[in-house]
Amino acid sequence: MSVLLTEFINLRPKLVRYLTARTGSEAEADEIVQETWLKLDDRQAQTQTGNIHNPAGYIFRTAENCLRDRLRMQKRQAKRDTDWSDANFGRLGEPGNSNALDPQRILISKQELEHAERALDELPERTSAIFRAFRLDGRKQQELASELQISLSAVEKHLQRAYAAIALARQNFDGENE
Amino acid sequence: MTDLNKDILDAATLWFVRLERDDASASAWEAFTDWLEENPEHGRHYDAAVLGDYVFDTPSSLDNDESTPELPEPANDNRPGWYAGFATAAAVLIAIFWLWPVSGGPQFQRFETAPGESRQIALGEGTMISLNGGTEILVDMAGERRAQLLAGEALFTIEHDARRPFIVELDDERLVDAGTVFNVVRDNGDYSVSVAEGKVILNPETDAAEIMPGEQLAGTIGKSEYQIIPFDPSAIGGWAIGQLSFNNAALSQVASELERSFGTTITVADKVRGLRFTGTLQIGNGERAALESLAGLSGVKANAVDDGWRLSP
Repeated sequence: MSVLLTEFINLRPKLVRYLTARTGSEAEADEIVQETWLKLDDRQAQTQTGNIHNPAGYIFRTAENCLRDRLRMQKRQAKRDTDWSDANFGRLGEPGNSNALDPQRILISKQELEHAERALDELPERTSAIFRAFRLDGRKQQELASELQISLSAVEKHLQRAYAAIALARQNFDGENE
Repeated sequence: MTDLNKDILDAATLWFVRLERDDASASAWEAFTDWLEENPEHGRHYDAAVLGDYVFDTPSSLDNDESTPELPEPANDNRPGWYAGFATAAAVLIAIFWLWPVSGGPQFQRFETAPGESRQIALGEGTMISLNGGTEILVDMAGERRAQLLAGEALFTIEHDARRPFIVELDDERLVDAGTVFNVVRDNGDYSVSVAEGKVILNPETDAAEIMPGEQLAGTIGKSEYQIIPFDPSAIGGWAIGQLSFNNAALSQVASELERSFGTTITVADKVRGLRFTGTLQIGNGERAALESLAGLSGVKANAVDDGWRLSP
């Protein structure tokens, strides 16, 4: 069996504990662990997973991403209005149109982005630059630290401030649009 | 929504940043778990950081890739290079949507799994097709609302769009759906459809048979007779999470499902082919455990043979 899948079996209890702490539900944690297993198994079959240096971290990250996908879908469902045009199918509380090409969704995404950008602009120049390099250009934290000749923890601090700012911005945006 | 606390948010975002690194160790994640367990507010603030971060994702319809989680290695591929300089980004966002092929014919792509293999296909946002072992399916990657199941088993989780129902074709039989969770099995000409949520309609123009949650329709392609029986909705698609649940199923059907999940061959003696089985088998513990469990629960004998197993009285 591959290193990745063996590691998964070892990590499983820790994954469950982690996901239970995140979701508050052991049942949901179990579901996510299963999804994670399927994704890892699938990845395993398709790509060279032999050169993963940190399989444990990779596995946690995969689980976290599964969880975030769910969180995102749940948030969307909670905000959606009931779609009255689905009278043909008559299901109560049917989620509305969530096609990614829906113009309304594009508009909301654009607005959310602008809102976040305004929050970033209020931060020191260096902080927002480091954030953009990391989040938009895909630069690694360690790389940025060496390039800017500052410590990794200094980079962490900048990013942390940026993320705090956009978390607040997102909450304000949601508050205004409820 | 209650306001966020600055101190907790600072701690949460620092965790977020630390765990965004490829080198985050299992002990870092464990320490994070400890922190989360201290106070439910910690998790809430971390979720707020996650939601803030989402804003910078590209919409998944722009990605060619399935929406599985980003690989931390080799490259962070959710951060595209073209996304440089925000001022133009929003405009680009809109431009690309209008350029996206919305009209034009379907473009079917074939997906296959070997027996014992499983695979997931993500379409758009929120629509997922899970394939069990030994499955062949054609999926329209242009319109993303049509599939043809040629063989095997697939679990469909369909994102609702009342204007564009999702259609699964089994040769000339059409299953029409507008946002539900349902499982389809095709064994040559025989097929079954089980609905967990929402509603699926078989051949709306002719049969117009409605399959509601908790129901399973069994039919034969090309024949107009079909049967609808009750089915536990929570067991639907159980194979995708390693659990096969059976309610009064013939042993031959149970053997088929096990063959799909494990990629092995299970021969069933004539005497016990029609034996009815009710119970749940776990896939996660491996082939032998599942067969032993089946033997224990059903009273048949399961013996390992050359290329698989044999079930006998």
